[in-house]
Amino acid sequence: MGFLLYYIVMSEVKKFHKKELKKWKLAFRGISLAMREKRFWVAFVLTFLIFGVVLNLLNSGTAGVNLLFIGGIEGFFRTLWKSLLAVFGIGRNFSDFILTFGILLLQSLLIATIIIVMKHNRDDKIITADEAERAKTGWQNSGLIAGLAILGSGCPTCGTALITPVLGMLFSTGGYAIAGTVSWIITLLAIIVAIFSLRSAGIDAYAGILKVCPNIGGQRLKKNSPTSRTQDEKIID
Amino acid sequence: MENIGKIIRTVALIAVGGFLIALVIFNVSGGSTAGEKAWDLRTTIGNHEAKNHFIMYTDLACPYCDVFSRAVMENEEEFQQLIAENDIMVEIRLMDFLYHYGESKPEMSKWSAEATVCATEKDKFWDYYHAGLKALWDDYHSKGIGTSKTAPKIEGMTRDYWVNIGEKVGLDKDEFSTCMDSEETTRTLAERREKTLRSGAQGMPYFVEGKFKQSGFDNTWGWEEAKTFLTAGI
Repeated sequence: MGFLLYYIVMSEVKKFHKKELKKWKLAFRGISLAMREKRFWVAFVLTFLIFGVVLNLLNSGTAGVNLLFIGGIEGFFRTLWKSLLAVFGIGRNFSDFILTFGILLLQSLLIATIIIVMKHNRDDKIITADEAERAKTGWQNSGLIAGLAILGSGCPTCGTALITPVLGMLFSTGGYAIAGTVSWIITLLAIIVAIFSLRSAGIDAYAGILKVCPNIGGQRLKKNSPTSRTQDEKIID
Repeated sequence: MENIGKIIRTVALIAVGGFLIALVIFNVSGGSTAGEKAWDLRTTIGNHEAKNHFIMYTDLACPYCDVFSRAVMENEEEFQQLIAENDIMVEIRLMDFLYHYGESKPEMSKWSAEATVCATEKDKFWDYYHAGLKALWDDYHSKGIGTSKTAPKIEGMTRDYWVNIGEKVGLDKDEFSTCMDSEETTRTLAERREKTLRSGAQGMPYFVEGKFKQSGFDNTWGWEEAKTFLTAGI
């Protein structure tokens, strides 16, 4: 009896694992196909730079934003320039740079993929309610990731993370003591949401490109995948 | 009807007059010199009669505070000229803020604050503060240790680290060490923390100059940003 139960559970786990792996593969393929479009790279670079500057500007709590306005025109551009350089790690610790760079990369990939999905939905002209809802969710998630990443930024050791005043309001001075942990949890949450949103957007991109340009998807499937297109469509559904 | 008009006029006149008197009182009380507002003149730099009072609430365990202080130290000549030209007195209010309210409760915050209080008592605040910043830079920050939330933490530091800095600036080791453990030092720091919290500080560094109040600094910034902060409240 025990063996049978173990067998059933294990086969279900295997099935789940196989299905998940296929989803990741499809998402990866969808993103790769989306990358072939110029629009993808425009969206990617713009998101990367704008969000990168904002994230680095808020690394000092509100001081960076304040500095934009108290230092005159020269100070404004100098602060923006230094934030832009920090996106590429100039003046930053390597560990800080890698963390920010990772979040930026995920966020930019996500937004660029969503834009491709929306373009293909528009080209397709027949957008189901489900497709529209998924695109909307994608946008909402990208907003959520941006918000979480911003809240998690800053120097919790110094008590200048953006989350600190909120925690101070909720828990008085005791709130400052948990700012670091909360900041890390929020950053991790941003990364997890970004990864799963990217998977979902990747699958949507694959489905969207397949619908509008069936030849591209079909050729790639025959070449690279042991699965048939029908099987992929089942997973997408 | 005429009476009501008179009453309204009288009330309005009293209100306007009261407001003007309050404004005068506010300006008179706000007109005292920077030196009169300082917690301790020994931790200030610049003219004590200055019109502008720049305060930096800081903690030696806060890496971003050190970035600001180092930027100033490395441009001392320009800094002196800036505060003289703009009639600013700069005051450093150093304490163990992060030991009490910070997450990791770094003991270096407590030791360094105690040591600075004792150095101030011997009129060696600036020598000790600069030596402390230099030691932290040489031993840790320049190697990327303890510089941010993702950087490796400062480990293995003992109380002696701060006692030895005292000895280097010419303080008697035993006397200095006894002072660091004294109740008076503990009391001084408790008072400072309480006053700092009342001033609205939630993190370090916290800058105040007139109506300008700002928390935080960034490790990609330097002297130009420090200069902007120093003159922001003028």
